[in-house]
Amino acid sequence: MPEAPLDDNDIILEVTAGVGGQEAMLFTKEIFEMYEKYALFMNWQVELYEHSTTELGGLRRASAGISGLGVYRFLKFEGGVHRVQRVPKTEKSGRVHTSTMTVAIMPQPKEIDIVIKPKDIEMDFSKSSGKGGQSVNTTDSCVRLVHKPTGIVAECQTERSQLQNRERAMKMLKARIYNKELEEQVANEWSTRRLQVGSRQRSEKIRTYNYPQDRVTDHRIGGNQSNLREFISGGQSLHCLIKCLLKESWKESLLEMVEYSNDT
Amino acid sequence: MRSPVNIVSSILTKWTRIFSHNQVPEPSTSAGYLVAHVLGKKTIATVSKQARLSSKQLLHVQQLCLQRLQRRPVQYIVGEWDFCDLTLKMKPPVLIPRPETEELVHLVLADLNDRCPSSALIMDVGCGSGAICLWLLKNRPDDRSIAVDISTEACQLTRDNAESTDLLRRLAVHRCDVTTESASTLKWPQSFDVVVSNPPYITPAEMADLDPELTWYEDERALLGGGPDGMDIIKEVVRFSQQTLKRGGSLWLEVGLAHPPLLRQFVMQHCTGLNFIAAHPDFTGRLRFCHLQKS
Repeated sequence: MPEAPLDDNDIILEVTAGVGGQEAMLFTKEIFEMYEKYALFMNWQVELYEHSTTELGGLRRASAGISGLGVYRFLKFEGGVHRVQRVPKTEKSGRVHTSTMTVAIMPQPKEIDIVIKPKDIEMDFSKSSGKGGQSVNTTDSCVRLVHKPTGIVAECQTERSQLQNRERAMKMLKARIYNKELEEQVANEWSTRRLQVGSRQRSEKIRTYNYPQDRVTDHRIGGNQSNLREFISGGQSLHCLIKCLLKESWKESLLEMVEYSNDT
Repeated sequence: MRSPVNIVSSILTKWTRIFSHNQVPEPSTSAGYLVAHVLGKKTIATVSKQARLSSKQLLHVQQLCLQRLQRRPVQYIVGEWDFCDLTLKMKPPVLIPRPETEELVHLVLADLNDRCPSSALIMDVGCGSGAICLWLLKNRPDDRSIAVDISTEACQLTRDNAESTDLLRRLAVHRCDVTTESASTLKWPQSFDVVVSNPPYITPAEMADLDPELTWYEDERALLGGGPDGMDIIKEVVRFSQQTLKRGGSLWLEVGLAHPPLLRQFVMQHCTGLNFIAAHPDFTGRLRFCHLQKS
């Protein structure tokens, strides 16, 4: 299969809890862990940027940088709304609930793809008392960057070193700015493909995980995968589905090319 | 219904409140690091707030937090800290690396890559925990370094950190007082491509305002700059560099915020053969890093 332009880029994976309160946040945690395990399975490197846990053990949102061979290529169709149907742990009457979470996959720009002027970035960090340097001991190394022209923000506090937090926040910031630019370019393209990437996907329901029936359904290619537990462990099962998606996507783009050349 | 007392979120709330009540600086950050440490993690960011601590762990958290209540720095309690991507042991009274110094080493690295494409000899004056020389050695695989400090504890800690980062082969550490004449003229005449230092630069007035974390636990010799303007040791390091730098070699210093213009003047008036090249800002935008060069 030929490679699309961004296929060999590293990515930033962002997960956000959707509808469903605590249950949605628990599901968000499970999906994030699924991708962390998949990264391990694929021999990729994961750098954690953001991780907001809740008091009751769920995940509100998280961001991680994933780098390695073909990361964007394999993960690009994972972006969208993932839905879970099951009886929540806290549910007393045994009723099945539906909760959602969103996955966003953003390719990280290469050096040449994006130019950010240092003066356009405002950095917020722990305000050490007055003179800084030797005169104070600081352990709060959280860094928050704001890109003034676009208002885009990135924050990181997963590391003890302020410089490392700053480097990760910068990667996140660049990826978010880059993706905003990419999406603005793509917004004008029209496509009937079921498998698409970008902001349009953000609100598309792409997959349902149904626990009572032990099946995972991808709504773009149909068909069901059983053994949900295996699937969500981020190994071979998920990898198979992803390969199917890639194959489908390639078939669709061939079809589109053929239709286009027929029309002209 | 109140959450059980042995889950992470409750423990964090409890100790943040106690630290705050006792005027311990960075109350919630401190609690976060100490609980994370007990759970084997570096930061609280990835710890599940619902995780439960065993009674053994609860006791451990309490022991660490009692130390913090005595204003012991978190880095000393935990026994290690990160400097850029290096994890180094921390031990009182050796000075804990400050975040500003993470910027200094990047400036020095850029200078080294520019002027010494192959290998260089680096002198770290006042090496402390070894952060500066070790980070440079890690990022310049062909360089060698000599590190000196007036404190035996600092020298030992630098050696320990060099060993744990597998850099001891390229580093020699000496206990040495660079303010003595013999240090500069006898040992290393015109040897170094770079002399880098984060010398003590705090003024007597500032000393009075320092937190107990510094005055009770960190080596005063690593903080007190000497003289009314805190520049005595800085000037000694400059004199030392005059003798020990190669022609064209660089001296890189981290100094106090009032010092760059004073240093520039000092160099112009008293240091033949040394030029004040530039002062660079830290991440707050204030000038803090001075670049001098031997002509």
